[in-house]
Amino acid sequence: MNEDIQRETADAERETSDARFGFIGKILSLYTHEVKNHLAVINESVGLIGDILEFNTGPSRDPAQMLEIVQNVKAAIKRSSEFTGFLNRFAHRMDAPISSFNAGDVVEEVAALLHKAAAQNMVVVAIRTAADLPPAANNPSMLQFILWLFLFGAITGVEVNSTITVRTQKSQRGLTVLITTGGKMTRPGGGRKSLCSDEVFAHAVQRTGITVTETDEAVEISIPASLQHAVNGSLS
Amino acid sequence: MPTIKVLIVDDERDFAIALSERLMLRGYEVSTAFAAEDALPAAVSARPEVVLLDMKMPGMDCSRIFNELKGFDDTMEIIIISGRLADENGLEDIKNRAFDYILKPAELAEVESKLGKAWAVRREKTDGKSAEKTDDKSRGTA
Repeated sequence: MNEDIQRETADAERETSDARFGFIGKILSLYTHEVKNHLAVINESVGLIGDILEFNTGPSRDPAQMLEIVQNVKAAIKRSSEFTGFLNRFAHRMDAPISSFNAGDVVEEVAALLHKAAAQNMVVVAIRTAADLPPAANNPSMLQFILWLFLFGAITGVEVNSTITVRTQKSQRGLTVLITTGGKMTRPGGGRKSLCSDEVFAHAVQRTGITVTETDEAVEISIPASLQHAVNGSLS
Repeated sequence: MPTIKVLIVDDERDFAIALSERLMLRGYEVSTAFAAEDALPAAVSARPEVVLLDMKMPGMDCSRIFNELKGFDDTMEIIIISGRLADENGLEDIKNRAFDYILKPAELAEVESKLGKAWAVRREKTDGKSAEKTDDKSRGTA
């Protein structure tokens, strides 16, 4: 019997790892796509400045327009730098299985890295983070995976022109993340269930000690202040 | 070589404008559309010979824009331009049906080379169609 339980646990662990690889792959593909677009703006803008100097003619030869091109380059570099900062923080969430973190930052990173997906699906993601959030002690990378399941599922499933709102606030248990879709889930292939099996989801939930309440329009994720408290609480 | 008429369809406005100005400095006749739904009206208005089409834009999937443009003028050559190296199913079909594929950021020499080749192929097609029409007329009067 023990062997069966061990095998099931190992299977769930492996399947969850596979699903998280898919999640990380998606984040990386969105990141590289966006940064390549920034690089393309820089490449063409710098090329245009070179052309104007070389041809000494053209529609952008006056100093004001030259300055505008330079501003475009600076803006693209700034966007890339900020975006890379989010990816860097996201990657460091995997440094340790348990750490202390600000849940608002964890939500913001996932939302920022899904910005391109939201734009392509013609939806907006609005972040509302309370100022008085207590620190959480948990597995931030696993929480980001769970957030992604709901957020990316909503981005790809909700009707266009919807505003998905993610509210992070203090609660009795610790913290609550409330995701409201702001529209009907009408598109095929969207939703959390399209991204992983119920077994993987249940395993991820169990690993973080969170509780999840799902309705058609909203998801409420209750995060314990400390994973240790959640585990002790469930054992007692 | 005569002036090549190019339409750039890309929601990255700064990129599209800079590329269009660079091509215009080299003698191309360039028009731009910054949204998926503006691609067809821009093509109807400008009658481009070659389209540089961003593969992923908000509002409409690439295959639909592709089909609309080809439906309007099937001799028009379409070159896909994108920051994505690999894509999900469905877009692979478009990459195969397009004249060519350019990965962002691209060297202008590569863009010009592919525009030139696409223009030459398109010219062969339109010349062939003109010859067919002339043959039809000759047969009709014989």
